[in-house]
Amino acid sequence: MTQAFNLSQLANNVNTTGQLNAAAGLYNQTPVANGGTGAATLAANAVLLGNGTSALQTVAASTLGNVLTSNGTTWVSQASSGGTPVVTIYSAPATWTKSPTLKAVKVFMVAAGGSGGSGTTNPALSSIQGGPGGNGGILQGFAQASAIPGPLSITVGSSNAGGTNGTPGTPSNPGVTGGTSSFGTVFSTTGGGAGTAQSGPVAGSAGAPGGSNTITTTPTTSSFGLTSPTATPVQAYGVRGQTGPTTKNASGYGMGGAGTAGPAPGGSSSGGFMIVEEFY
Amino acid sequence: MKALVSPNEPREIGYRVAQVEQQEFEVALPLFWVDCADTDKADQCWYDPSDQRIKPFPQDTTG
Repeated sequence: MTQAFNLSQLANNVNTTGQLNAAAGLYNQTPVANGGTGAATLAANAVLLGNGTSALQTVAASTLGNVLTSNGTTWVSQASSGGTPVVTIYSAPATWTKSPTLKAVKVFMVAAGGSGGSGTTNPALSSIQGGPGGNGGILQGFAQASAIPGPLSITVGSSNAGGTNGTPGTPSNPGVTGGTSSFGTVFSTTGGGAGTAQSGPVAGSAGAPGGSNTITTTPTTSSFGLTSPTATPVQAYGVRGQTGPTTKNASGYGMGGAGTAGPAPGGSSSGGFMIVEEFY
Repeated sequence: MKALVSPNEPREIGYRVAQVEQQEFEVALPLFWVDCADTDKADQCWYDPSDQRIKPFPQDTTG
């Protein structure tokens, strides 16, 4: 073809103001060096990657839930490898195995409440109560994998029955201390104290809350514990004992049982529990 | 029997006996286990670090 022919063909793609129709007047992809992409097509919804002076590269969205991740050289679409912990809830003793790829754990635990003390069958003292049990300790801890021996034993404090009712002329019976909850040798919090017995005209005293001041901090572990609320109990984790007499038995987790008056056993306590979140 | 001692929980001039068990289980520091009598019960006695003995609280015996 002659130059004159080529120029006339090109002119067919120029408008009246001298602008070239890029969609019809070019026969190759515009190179990156000239401000183009160097590509004839770009996959729908793909992410564009620079590629020096060569045509742009793309990364497809691929599998649902994938994230864009650097492999040290470029970007790839792959499954997320972090952020979503593996969560296990324990309400009974168990053996926990440490995975070799574990990075850290977060543990939330509640120990068992103490059960309540009882009243007496002595009619003259029937209004005198045994003491309510204390709440189980509450602890949240975080530990890096390097600080965790494995495998380890998980212990969850168990609930207990209240003190049995007493007889005239003798003290009534105290409740039972709540069991300790432990994540091996890494974190522990103690159970609530037992409500003491009614004794003559003297009411029993409340069991002490468990786990007070359960705080540890090292370069690889940290935890904090909560002390007892002293207000009217609510049904939640680790609260002070029920006040009875209608609802003398603890509910929820880590709650103390009520102390009772008259010929009735003390309220039972509720056991602990533990949530272990593993991060990889 | 084994008594679980909790140094973070003061009792008398010593520490709380938070649990009594036939067998120890794993616990985190500062908790520790000591031998105790079969008759010892949690929160009815305390641990005296000065002589490393478990001692009973005074008990009221009136009815």
